[in-house]
Amino acid sequence: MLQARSLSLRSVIKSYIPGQRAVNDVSLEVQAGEFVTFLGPSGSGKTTTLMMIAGFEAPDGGDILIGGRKIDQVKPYDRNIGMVFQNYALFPHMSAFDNVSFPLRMRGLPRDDIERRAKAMLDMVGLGRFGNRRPSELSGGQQQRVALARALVFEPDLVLMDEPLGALDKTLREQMQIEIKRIHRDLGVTMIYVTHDQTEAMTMSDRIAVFSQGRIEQIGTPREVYFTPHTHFVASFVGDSNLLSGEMLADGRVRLEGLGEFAAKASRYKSGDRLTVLIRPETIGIAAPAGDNSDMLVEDVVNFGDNCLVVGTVNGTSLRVRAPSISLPELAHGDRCGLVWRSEHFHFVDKS
Amino acid sequence: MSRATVLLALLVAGLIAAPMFIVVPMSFSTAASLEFPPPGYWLGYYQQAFTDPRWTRPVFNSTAIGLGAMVIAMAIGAPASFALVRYRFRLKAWFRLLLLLPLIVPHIVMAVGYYSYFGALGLVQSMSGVILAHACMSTPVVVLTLTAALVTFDRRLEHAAASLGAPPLATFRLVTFPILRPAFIVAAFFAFIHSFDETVIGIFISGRDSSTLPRQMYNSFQMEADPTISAVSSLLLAAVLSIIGARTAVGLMRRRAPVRPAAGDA
Repeated sequence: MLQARSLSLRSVIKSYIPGQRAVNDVSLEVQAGEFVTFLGPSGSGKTTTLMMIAGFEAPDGGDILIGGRKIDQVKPYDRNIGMVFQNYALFPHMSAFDNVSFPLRMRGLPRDDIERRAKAMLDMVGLGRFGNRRPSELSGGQQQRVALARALVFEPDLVLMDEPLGALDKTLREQMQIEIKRIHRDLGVTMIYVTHDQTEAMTMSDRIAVFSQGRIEQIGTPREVYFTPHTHFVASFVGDSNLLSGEMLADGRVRLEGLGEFAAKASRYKSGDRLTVLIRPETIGIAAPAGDNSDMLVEDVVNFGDNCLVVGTVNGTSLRVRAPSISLPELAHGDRCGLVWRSEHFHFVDKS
Repeated sequence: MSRATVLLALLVAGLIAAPMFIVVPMSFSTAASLEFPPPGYWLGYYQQAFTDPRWTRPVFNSTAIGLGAMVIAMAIGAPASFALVRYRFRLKAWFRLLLLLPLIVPHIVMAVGYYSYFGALGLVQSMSGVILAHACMSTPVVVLTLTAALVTFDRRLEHAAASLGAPPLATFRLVTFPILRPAFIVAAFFAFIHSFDETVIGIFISGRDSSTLPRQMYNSFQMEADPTISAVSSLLLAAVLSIIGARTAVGLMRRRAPVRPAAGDA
């Protein structure tokens, strides 16, 4: 079992170009043993933040603490942070075993210890038999495992992963996601995981920090981020979504483009407020057409096998509906169908 | 390929190769001066090349100067290459130009400059003078070779080493240098050859005792047309060809060596 440590970022700032902040006032508390994902599009500041935690970039302001200790003055090689890089960054001139034992040799451990621990770690990632191979003689997935073993073998306080599965194909990626989760569970180490893939973030994380334009837009459990996004950006970036504009009416009802009026519990808003309503495509059902203007005109049906995405318009407003294929009638371009929805599944976001 | 193109290709190849190889039969000649075709054959000039101090001394000088110039050029060129590729600083473009200048300025101009400058410093006709001048001439070669290799070097490997606990020097010793070793070897070899081959500056500032091989060859050719020059040339040619041959052989052997397949992936 590793010694898991907490991580704190306090108002961290970084700018490369004067007046333009790559990381703008990022604050975050990560509990010991937690798995937190930095999710965001490229250029949102997530990788820069990771590089500052690792010590390869110096913040222009704010503090970074590991286990309650400030690390501003600590050199990268003294931080005891394990890191997994997108392209693995394995040393090409060393065998898998030498790669994994490198951090132990740097720490001057006795040779027997090095041998035993590196072997045990290679076994743990299922590469016990491949120790004497060079990285170029290993497949992408195997290289990824060596990189993982190398980042974990010295019992780091914290493990950082920078899009570690980006170069793998879909099946392998899913396998490695499960593998990384298992290792996280077994070792109990604090992990920070950077990705732009929202599915990956959803399936792996204890909490997700959604980055946009150098800021954390929201931090919460996958469920919170998915169902109750705080901002328009989070609602649109995480998961598939319908974002419809609406207006608060006097009697506590909401008028929504396309779908009409309905009663809603949105006490945060007062009469006349403009707002955005998030409706997840899978919270809408398909029914027999009612024959009036509440029906949807189908434009396209995308079949994913287990479920179908039905794209269409209601009163000129486009809408995406996702339903299990088995319960769906045959639909094609030009058909009409009825819609079933419950307003308590709607989520209100401030008009951006 | 048609017969005409093959013929043309052979003709061009012959034109390029003939002047290089014409010295070989001449080196075995019995003639007392350079003469082609040779009237007879013997190995006397080779014996002379290996025993006559007029030849052995310059060979030693050139080798020593080449090694010295190589060491200094690497000591200047390697850090400069890292600075050029990895750091942003003021006047960087001028710094690069300054480093490459010895390659651009005509050798004869450099030679005149060294002659008067080293004259004032008392370095003319000394081995150290030639070493310094050649180190300058070889530095651009080192910089060009190393910067080309450095831009393709993945810095994440160094970040990885640091994150694993390696301080900068250990990172260089265990990761950066071993990966860039071929480029360092090539750069050092080029620096040596560049000095060994250099004639103009050698003629201007190497003295009788510090005479370089090209200077001796030039003098010998000018004064006496001593056929030993063809023996020495043949030896140089053989040396270069054997180095290239060895490289090719190593390359071929590597390609033949079976790489175990990365089977059983999961």
